[in-house]
Amino acid sequence: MVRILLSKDRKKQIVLDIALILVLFVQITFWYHTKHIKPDMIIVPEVPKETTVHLLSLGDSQFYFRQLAFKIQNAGDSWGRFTALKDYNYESLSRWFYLLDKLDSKSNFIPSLASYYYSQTQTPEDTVYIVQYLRDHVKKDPRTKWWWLSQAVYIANHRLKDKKLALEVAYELAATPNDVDMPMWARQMPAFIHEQLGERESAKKIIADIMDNFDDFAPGEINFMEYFLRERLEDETFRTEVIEELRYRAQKKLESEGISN
Amino acid sequence: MKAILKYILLTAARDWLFIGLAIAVIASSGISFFLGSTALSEQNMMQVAFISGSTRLILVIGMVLFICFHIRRSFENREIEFIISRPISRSTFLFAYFFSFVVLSFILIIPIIILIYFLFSPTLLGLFGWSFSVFCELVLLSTFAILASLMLRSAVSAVLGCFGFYIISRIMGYAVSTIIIPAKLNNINFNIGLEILLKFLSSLLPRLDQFAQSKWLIYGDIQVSNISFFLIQSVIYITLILLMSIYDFNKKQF
Repeated sequence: MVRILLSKDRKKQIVLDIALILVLFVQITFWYHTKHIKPDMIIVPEVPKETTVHLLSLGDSQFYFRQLAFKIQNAGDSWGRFTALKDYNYESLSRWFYLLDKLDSKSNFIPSLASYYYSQTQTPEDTVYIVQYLRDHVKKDPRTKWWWLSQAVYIANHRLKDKKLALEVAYELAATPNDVDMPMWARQMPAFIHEQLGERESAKKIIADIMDNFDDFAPGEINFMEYFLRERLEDETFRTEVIEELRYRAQKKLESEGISN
Repeated sequence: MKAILKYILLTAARDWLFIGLAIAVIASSGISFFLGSTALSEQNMMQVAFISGSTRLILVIGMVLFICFHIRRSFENREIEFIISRPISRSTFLFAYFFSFVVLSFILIIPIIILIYFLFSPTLLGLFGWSFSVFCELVLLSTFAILASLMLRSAVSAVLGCFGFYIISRIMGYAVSTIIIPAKLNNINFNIGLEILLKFLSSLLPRLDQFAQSKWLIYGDIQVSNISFFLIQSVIYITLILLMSIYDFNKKQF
């Protein structure tokens, strides 16, 4: 029998090679038994505390706001998923909206995300959170944020189908200071909701109120008011009064501009 | 001083600092553009915020790494011993290093300003405020990196120390303003002790949380008080760190 004599170094090398192969085998076995473990795929992440968010922003709240806003935009659609909006926890989402407003209430990103995207849920009842958030968001700066109240009115009226809530929000929108450059349809929204509720007298009162408080009506706005009074309120007398008044004012304005020119 | 400045710039070029940071900034800008463009609205603002935040971090990390490793390497190669054997005082030597890193910070911030200006056209005041505060932040961190490299024997410790200092300085301002309200904590005795400790620590750290706010680029709402705040803080703290560095360097035995 031939006895193979191996040097010390060669023996060490063999032991090392065997150890390496064994450990590699153990690693592959470990992977085989753990490959089914997936990351925790929550849809809406846990809402952190305001203090935590401010600390983690490391002084640059705008940078962190944009990061978190991006995260909320893509919530539920990460890791190759597409999640139906009905599966989202809207109460959690709403708390995220309020939290992000604390980092930056000037930005329109969160209200646009809430009103254009998250309002499209297949569960209309969830949109009550969106409406409430938009109302609270606008209170921070009603002069520049009025657009989101109009979105809230639309969502309450057509998605949530809660006309009482839509009317409340419409009155908040109409209460925007008169010197804010806002189109007439926004100020007339309570009239539209009243008309849908069959409260025509209340609708007429809104129109009359606007006539008393505003002078400047674009031709498109006059045409729309004429249509609304004729087709929706079906009040020929009131329509004639309003349109004649508006035409008179427009005429006076043209004359005064002609004189000044 | 000119010789040291040239030497630092040469070392920076040799260590691929400029190329490395340029690649990092271009990559982060590309990612920021892509991510910002997928936003539902305010895409430009998203891009500006991401670019400003990421480039600030890249510059800070790049400068700290370069300074710490450069100074420790100079100690190990005995370059510093050689230089101070010349007729140059230790204070002058340190000032020369400090000045060189100021110039280096300035060179690094210029391309970022040009990038942001031509891509996003922010308000000039906002851009000036943000850029100047980033420059002040870089100089402050560079000065601290010099001190850390002088005091600590290992480049890695110096780098970790600088990063720890940076993070704590950015957190401390908000932490003190919330934790000093005793109602926030449960145990009153614990409050007082923690309050005193945090106030003491906070008094020794700069308010970096007031520097380099991305909102200045986006909304342009920067006041003169903001600019004077970070300018005064930078001058005070840089002077403090430089004096500590001179004190430590003068005591070193070679």
